[in-house]
Amino acid sequence: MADALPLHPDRCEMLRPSHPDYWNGHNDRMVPRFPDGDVKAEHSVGTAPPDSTCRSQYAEHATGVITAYDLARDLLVYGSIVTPPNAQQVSGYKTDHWHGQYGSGQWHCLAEEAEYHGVAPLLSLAVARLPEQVRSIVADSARRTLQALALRHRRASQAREAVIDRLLTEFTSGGVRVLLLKGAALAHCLYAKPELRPMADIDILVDADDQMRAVAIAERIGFVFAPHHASSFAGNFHHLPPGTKQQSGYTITLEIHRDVLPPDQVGSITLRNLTVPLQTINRGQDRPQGLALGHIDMLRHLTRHAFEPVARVRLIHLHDLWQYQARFHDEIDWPHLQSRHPGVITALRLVHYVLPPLREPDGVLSAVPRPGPSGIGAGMLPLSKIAGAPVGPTTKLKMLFDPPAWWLHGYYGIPPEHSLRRCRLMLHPATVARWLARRLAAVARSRFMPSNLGDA
Amino acid sequence: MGVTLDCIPAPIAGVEVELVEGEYLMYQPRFSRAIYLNPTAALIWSLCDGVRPLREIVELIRAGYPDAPPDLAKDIVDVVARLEEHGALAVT
Repeated sequence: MADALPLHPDRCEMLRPSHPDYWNGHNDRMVPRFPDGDVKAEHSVGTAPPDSTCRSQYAEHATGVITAYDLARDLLVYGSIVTPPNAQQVSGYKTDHWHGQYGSGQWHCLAEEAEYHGVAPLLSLAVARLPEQVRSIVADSARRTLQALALRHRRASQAREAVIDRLLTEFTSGGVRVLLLKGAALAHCLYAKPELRPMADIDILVDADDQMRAVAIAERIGFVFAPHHASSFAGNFHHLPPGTKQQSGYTITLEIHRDVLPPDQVGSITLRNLTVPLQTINRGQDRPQGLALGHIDMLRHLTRHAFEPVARVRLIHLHDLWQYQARFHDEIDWPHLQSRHPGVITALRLVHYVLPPLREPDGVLSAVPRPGPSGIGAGMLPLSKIAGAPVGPTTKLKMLFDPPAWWLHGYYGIPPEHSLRRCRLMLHPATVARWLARRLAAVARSRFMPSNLGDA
Repeated sequence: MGVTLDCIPAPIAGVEVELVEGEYLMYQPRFSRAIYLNPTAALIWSLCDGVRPLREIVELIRAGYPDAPPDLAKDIVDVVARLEEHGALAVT
């Protein structure tokens, strides 16, 4: 029988995965979605609350400022190399490491940082595996918030996987060939459990000719599709307007792609131009198997996706690449990648500025030069964010034409040993011009030829 | 309405309680929040079945914990009131 504990209402603690009241600053306020649903958190970038040392911003390579971002990636590394039941101190991760590097400020902000980066379930696991003498310095609030987030993601994952089961079954019955993309595939082929890989949407790839049949099938199982993309700048987008349905209290979003790569990117990956054979994804006992891109196309997709314009490159995407290159190292055709898609190799190497290599550097994935480019972990804001940013035109031009060096290397596939001069002077301005032109054309087309679902 | 000993508390549909590393974590998907319950609060929660009035819950706990403090009833009412406030219980 449990101990007769005194009952105090304040021991029935209330936690919030998000803490909007911590954030007093309104500079660069972001409102990210929780990856698995429509509950929003408010997350301010920049000014820290006056009563806290927490500065939830990316860690500049050269500043030496230790932030919750550093703690998050440190825990990601630790969690990946420590496996139960023998979770003992790993060389390089002695107790002093945690005590010396990180203080209450970083632990305090960890949950918020983890949720932005989509790594809360992984970090909750890593924290649980810390030695007891280290766990004692982790504030209960930080530990519990991560646990709560992990629980939420587990429930959301269960709901999402049930929907994917149904989609795969119905698509097969309907004769529509479908591939699982990104998280929907990685959750099973790369992660021990799907709940460890949060995702905002279910992304699937079908042939362009099958898109409307795919919509019809999805609608039959309860998805409701938006009639058109939210932005008039979308134009001929690579996926249809998203569909949503409710499942077990969660909003499940479905994106039906005809191309894996967005129109802003050069190149395309469709069912008609795959580089390598597909791989089968075993989704667990009694669940329908899925198909996913083969290793080469998967890496092409994941590297391009990771370096899409975003304020801060999300750790979950870098983690995907980090783990994928190690897990499937012996199956990947590295000479093919190096000769046909060298930008993929560059991106995989750039990940190593954030997460250290899990294997010894070799001829293809050679060690990256140190110190690395500036702005590690930072990205270029999307055009829409730049346009709407509450800053002057000079700052906006800088955001447009002077993004972080690390991101430029990743987006354009320029090895970190090489200069960005040509990129900054010619390649990037030309790319920005192309993006703007595409959007203007999309707006003009939408005015004169309104499009709806299925017109893509 | 205020919570009294004559009220009947019932769990809200969709609220789940899990034992996580020795602690009880209560969660509902539509809320961006989770609640940690100490063991006694978890016990109270488990006794709220939509049939049993609060008065009976107090008596059950008092029978199981003879050394409980004299203001046990007030504490239980307070816990139930907080759980109702946070959307985990409905009280009729």
